Amino acid sequence: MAFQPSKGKRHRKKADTGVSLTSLMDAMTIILLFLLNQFSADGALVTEAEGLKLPESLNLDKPKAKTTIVATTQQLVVDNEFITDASDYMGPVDPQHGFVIQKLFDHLDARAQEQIDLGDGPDGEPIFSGEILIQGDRAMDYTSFLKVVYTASQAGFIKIKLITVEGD
Amino acid sequence: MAFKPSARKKQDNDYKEPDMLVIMNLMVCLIPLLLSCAEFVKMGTIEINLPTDSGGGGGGSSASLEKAKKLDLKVLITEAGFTIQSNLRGIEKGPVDNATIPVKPGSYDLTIPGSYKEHYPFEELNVKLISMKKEIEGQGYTDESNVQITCGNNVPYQVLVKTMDKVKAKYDKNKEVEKILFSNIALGVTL
Repeated sequence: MAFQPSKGKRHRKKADTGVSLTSLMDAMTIILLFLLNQFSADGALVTEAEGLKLPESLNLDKPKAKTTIVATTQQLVVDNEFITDASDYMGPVDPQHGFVIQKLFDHLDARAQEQIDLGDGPDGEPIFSGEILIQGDRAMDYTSFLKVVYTASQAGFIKIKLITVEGD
Repeated sequence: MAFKPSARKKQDNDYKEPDMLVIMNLMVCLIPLLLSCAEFVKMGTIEINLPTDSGGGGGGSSASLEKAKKLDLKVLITEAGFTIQSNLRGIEKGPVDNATIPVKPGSYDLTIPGSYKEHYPFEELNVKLISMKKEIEGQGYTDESNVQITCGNNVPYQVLVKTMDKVKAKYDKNKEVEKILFSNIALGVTL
């Protein structure tokens, strides 16, 4: 003969059978700590442009966000704004314009003028610092690179920094 | 007389997990945000100086100009290799195409990682510059930290950057203060 079912068990609350999130939380916490560790609080950093292979270098002074020229083997871009395509600046020096890339010069000159007109910033320093970053494709030839550098300097950006990636 | 403890109360002692759904929601937002900010490829900068205008007169007296001892170091990168020129040794011509340090035979492909490093002898350039730096140290050269790098028209940008690395390399690491070979890099033009 079977035993009579327990009366106590009948009244026991059914256990919650929802998904256990504890292990997932552990994983998430580890990922979060890892990412927080990686995160740099040094200010806005520069990001690598698309379609560009930066040259490798051992010098790793951290770049700060500034006006950035991206010179790929296809196009020239300043702060995500298309300026001109490669036919305008790749290859030998144009005898008419010399080392100056006219479209780039016009753009940078206008930008420099805007910043000069703004005067001083809240810290008392002039907003226009003359600093510019250049992200060049590693396969770009020297003459084309020099044209970009020269044009930037002619527009008043004389503190030129080249962006590289870490590599031996 | 005390009452007997309730049998029902005992049944409610089941372990209850805290509600983590709210924290999970926060995590799901935070992780993509941090992922977008994370720096997986380390980027750096190299500062360059523009060539100074050497033309025109003015300035100090001719006597002081005569006294200024200049090294005037130049490194020319061509498809044949590196050519070094300075007031100390003049143009150091090598046996192949006049390059001081000729490239290794064969060709290179920038799409193959490291192939250009095997073609251009960067280490030899570094050794040469270290020996020159040690020779000029304390000799009173006013431009002992300066170097001008000039490239042939078709030399890739990557080769220029790697040369800058070697020119700016640290040496004499045994000393407490690490010394840099030539910290002020200027770019030159071949006409």
